[in-house]
Amino acid sequence: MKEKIPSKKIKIVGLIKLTVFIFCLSSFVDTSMVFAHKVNVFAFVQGNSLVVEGYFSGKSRARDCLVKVFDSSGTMILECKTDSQGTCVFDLGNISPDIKSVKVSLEAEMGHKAEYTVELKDQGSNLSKAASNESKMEDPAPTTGNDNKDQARDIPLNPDALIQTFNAMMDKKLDPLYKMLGNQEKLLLEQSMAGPKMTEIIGGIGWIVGIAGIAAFFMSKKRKSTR
Amino acid sequence: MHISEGVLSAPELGVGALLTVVGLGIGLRRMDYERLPEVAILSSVFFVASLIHVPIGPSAAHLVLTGLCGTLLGWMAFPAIFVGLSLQAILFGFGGVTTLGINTFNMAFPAVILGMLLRHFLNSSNYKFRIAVEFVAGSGSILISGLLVALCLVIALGQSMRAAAQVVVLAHVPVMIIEGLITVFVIEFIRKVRPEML
Repeated sequence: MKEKIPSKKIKIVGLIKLTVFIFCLSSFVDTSMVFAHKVNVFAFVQGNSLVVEGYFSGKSRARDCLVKVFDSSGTMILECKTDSQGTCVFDLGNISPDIKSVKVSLEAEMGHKAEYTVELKDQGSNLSKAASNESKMEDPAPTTGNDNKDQARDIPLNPDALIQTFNAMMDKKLDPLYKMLGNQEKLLLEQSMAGPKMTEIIGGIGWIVGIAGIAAFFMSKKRKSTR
Repeated sequence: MHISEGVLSAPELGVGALLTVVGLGIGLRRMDYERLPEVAILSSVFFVASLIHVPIGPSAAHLVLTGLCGTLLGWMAFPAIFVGLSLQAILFGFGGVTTLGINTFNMAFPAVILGMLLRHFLNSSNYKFRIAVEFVAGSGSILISGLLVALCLVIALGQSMRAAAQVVVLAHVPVMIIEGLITVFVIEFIRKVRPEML
């Protein structure tokens, strides 16, 4: 029996309809979560908050993922879910000042998980002090001579208070630098998350050819011996 | 599809590794010198297909092509998929070395079973039936693999099977359609150029 082959025109119309259907379907379904190869998490201290950002490979944001923050002893201290931007912000004001570093764990659907450790000793604790002293040191950069005199009058003469005030002032000055370094680290992370490069993919195929070659070598020896 | 390290418990990883070793053993026993290039090519196809992301609408997905591997290779799909997954884990950190066993089983087993069940119908004289069989081989493998991943997570994390399966089925629908269509196109192409492969 001869097969019934549809005409070319019907085939093209069918293909267009199917493409539109798949496009519409994918508008309702987010496949990035299940089809990402791995999830990555990045966290940094901003002011008195810990900001956590989650990405899947290919730079898509990890939305609605569970984020847990653990202290050095492994006790969970904070928990939240990422928003539509894949971000989760924790207030560090409520955690103990003894905690010097935290481990951030992000759990996505379909068995994806990533961890990241953030040091709080250099940033968080000082910044929290900075935040507490914010009322005293509003904006030290664009000050006039009179303002400086006013501020000098505000600085207490007690050495401890003086150190604290000085630290707060330094932190305020260094805050943009912290952010810049954080962004650099984020950029490097994003670069590594952009997915494998073409050269790496070709390298992988090379490995497979090599493995097949080794297998062929041993199989050919076996064939010769059986002949 | 790649379950990360640190998600599953040791017994689950052990069972996955054991099942994969069994699958690999059967696959390697059935592999002969003549079919080695076919296995290597399909391993490369699997390795590359799952690395290239195709944008569909606002989202993106990648092909897996395990259905094609299972249909064409049968049990030999186990070594082909294992090699592809191993390289992805070692070179790019996808999945992980400890989860290699369970990931291989989740992807290869449904493909092998569907391939074995549907292979007999591939040479049917009924064109529409044949196309349907090829489509089911491609898309069904993705669906069953996703359900196996969901089952692993249910056991490990205590999620409800209904919720986990819902995520899997919903999110995989566009990819199942694309995967099914590509399997149809590839098998029909092979039928024209190398019919002895089927």
